[in-house]
Amino acid sequence: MNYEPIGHRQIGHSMNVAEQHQPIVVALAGNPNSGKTTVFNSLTGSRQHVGNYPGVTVERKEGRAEFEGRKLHIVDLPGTYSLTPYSLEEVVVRRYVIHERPDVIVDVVDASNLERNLYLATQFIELEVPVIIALNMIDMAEAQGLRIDTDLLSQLIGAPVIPMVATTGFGKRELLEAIVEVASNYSRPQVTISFGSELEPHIAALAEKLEALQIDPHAGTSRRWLPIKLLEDDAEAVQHLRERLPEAEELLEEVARERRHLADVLGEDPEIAIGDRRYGFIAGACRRAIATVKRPKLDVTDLIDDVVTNRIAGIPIFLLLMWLMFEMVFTLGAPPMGWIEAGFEWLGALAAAWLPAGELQSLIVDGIIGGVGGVLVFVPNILLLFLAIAFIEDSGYMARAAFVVDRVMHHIGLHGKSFIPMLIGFGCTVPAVMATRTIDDEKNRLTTMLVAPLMSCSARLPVYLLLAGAFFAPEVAGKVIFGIYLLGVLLAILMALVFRKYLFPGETTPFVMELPPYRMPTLRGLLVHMWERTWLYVKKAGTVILVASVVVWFALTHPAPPPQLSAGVTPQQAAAQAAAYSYAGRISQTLEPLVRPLGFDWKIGTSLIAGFAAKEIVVATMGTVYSLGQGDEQGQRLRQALQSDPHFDSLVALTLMVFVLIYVPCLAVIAVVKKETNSWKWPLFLIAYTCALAWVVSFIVYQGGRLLGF
Amino acid sequence: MFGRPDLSPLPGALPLVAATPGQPYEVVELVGGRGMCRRLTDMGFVPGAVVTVTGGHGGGLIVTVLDCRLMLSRGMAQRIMVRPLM
Repeated sequence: MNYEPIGHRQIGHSMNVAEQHQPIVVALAGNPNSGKTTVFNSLTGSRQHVGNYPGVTVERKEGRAEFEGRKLHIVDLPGTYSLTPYSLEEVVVRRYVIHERPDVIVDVVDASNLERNLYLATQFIELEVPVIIALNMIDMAEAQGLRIDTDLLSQLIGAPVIPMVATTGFGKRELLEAIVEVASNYSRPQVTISFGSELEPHIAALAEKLEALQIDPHAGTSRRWLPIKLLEDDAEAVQHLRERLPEAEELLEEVARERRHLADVLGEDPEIAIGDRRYGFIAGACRRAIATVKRPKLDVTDLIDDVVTNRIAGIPIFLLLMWLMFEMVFTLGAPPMGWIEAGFEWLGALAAAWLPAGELQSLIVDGIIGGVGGVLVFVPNILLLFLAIAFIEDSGYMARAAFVVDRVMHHIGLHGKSFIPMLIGFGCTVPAVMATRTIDDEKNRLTTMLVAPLMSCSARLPVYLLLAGAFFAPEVAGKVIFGIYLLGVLLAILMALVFRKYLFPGETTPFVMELPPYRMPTLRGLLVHMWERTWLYVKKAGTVILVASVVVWFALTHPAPPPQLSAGVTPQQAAAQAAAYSYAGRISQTLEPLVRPLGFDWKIGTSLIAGFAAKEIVVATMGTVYSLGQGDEQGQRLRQALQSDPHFDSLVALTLMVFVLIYVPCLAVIAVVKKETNSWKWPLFLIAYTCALAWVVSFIVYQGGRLLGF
Repeated sequence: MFGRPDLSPLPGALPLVAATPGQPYEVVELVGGRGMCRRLTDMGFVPGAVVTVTGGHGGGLIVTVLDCRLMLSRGMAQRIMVRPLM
């Protein structure tokens, strides 16, 4: 671990002329649900960049802004309640603040819930880093009858307090002014949080001892910080000391003795006592700075919660909302999908007319337009799905859904928190796997990670839409797709049970989760969320899928069959023969016995192999295979091409949907599981178990269906 | 860890799972491992804090502490000792 400060900026000095041109580095911190992301979007507009923190997969969002000629570089830190290195997010925030030394930290707090939100602020104050409190959602606090004296609060906690409403832009200018002011003229606060007569002498003595030993308390931060952290028995602080001091063990032993002594005197562990004093400090400040005018008796959040978390109505309401979500995605998505489909058809016809027949025409029309176009057609559905998920997330219902299903999840050895990654999995499995990080319990986390791919992601949706659309009546198609999603959920439950019983036996650890107040999501927030995620899908179509389409096209068209083979047959037969003669055809034909019992032929086999990379490629490959197979009838829709294939019927289509639902999500998921678990064991296990499960379930569906006479 | 030497329940204290919904209680102490106690402290469960159970069935409990609604698993609520305020 590198403990050297990365930037060499000094805190507590005035900006010199050269630094006027340097951008001011602003870090946004705050509790989850404090509206931090809204503040970030409001400050940066569209000038954002999403990356990762080095070494970990916590998302790192950065953006730029300009204010009165000064450039600002804004970093959106993950939402945390504290700087205790308890979760990965907290570790990231703490290391960033201590080692990368932003010029200013803006702690975004929910004005209507100050006592909890200021807990994090107290820790920045302890560190004595330049912090500004952005009192977000001040309008809601006022509507609740709270009158906050921001000047007094600012004096009491020793940091500027800026009231604002990020959604409307109210207070944005004042915040920017404060940022520039603090960046240029920061002076250490005159306020220290006192931990009381028992703890303070120990903190002072320890600080002196560390200074005598010349232990750097993270250059520029408070001399109290490291002693406080050592008394809290903070793992990172202990580590810091061990790396700096040869005789660390001796000192740590002494700290341990002091901790035992303090526990006796205080009647509770020092870290709890310290937390207690922080809350005491906040409560004192709030008592003086906040006047409660009158509290409306009717709390909307209470009212909604009474209904949606109701013992009896909770689950039916949840299911109804899920059903509505899918209905919306499919019905509203259908018309624009038709337009895009028509657009690509026109483009294909145009390219076919303009380009001379041959390799190049085949590459562009069959390979690229057939492959990438087949995937882009589904952008409207994916846009709507991500919009729905963003709405569920931003409104606050997501946490309630977790609560409602907790009862069910409990029976399969998981808890409600595992549900959030699973719901995100309907959008994309990659962020779902990343979202498992909020699960503290390792067994639960791995189980959730392994079953999350069974939640059908948006990339699989094109396959269902294509097949259900081609082989089922329009009024049945939606229900078939809903059924596939449901099957995924059921299998996830089943596999979770199996994994919890055989792979990770044992009790689950208890958990705590915040249920944020309900909020009307802002249109802008929804659009940003929806666009960020959809753009990834489009980008994938332009890169991975484009390459895969070209590779698949090449494998399907080379080597060309000898001319005598195609003598005296129809163009369609000739094309089919050519495909069968190609590399892809030969490989798939060798493997055909493996998928034969599932009712698949070599053409489907080819698509499934290509689909290992990403699920959209299944559609893209079919687009290429069938586009080639059409011979003269260029431009005929893929759906009609499938219908006219004598091998395909509704049972084969259904079995294929089931197989695509279950088998290996995609390479990106394998990579993220490897990264998250830090070993190849789990990603390889994921590949093996999903393929085996896909085969078994598809076998049952196909053979069962045939037995029943379908 | 090593809070009170004697771990017999404090007089009048009961675990939060056993609290009557809707009634205010005061946190007396946290019983449990270090990590968990710290997590609970970060979320506002410190001695003296006022908690009210506002809902819950089967799996978890919904409790209000510091004006904020939290979902706690029963296991977690078992470790929070409270005393009725009225």
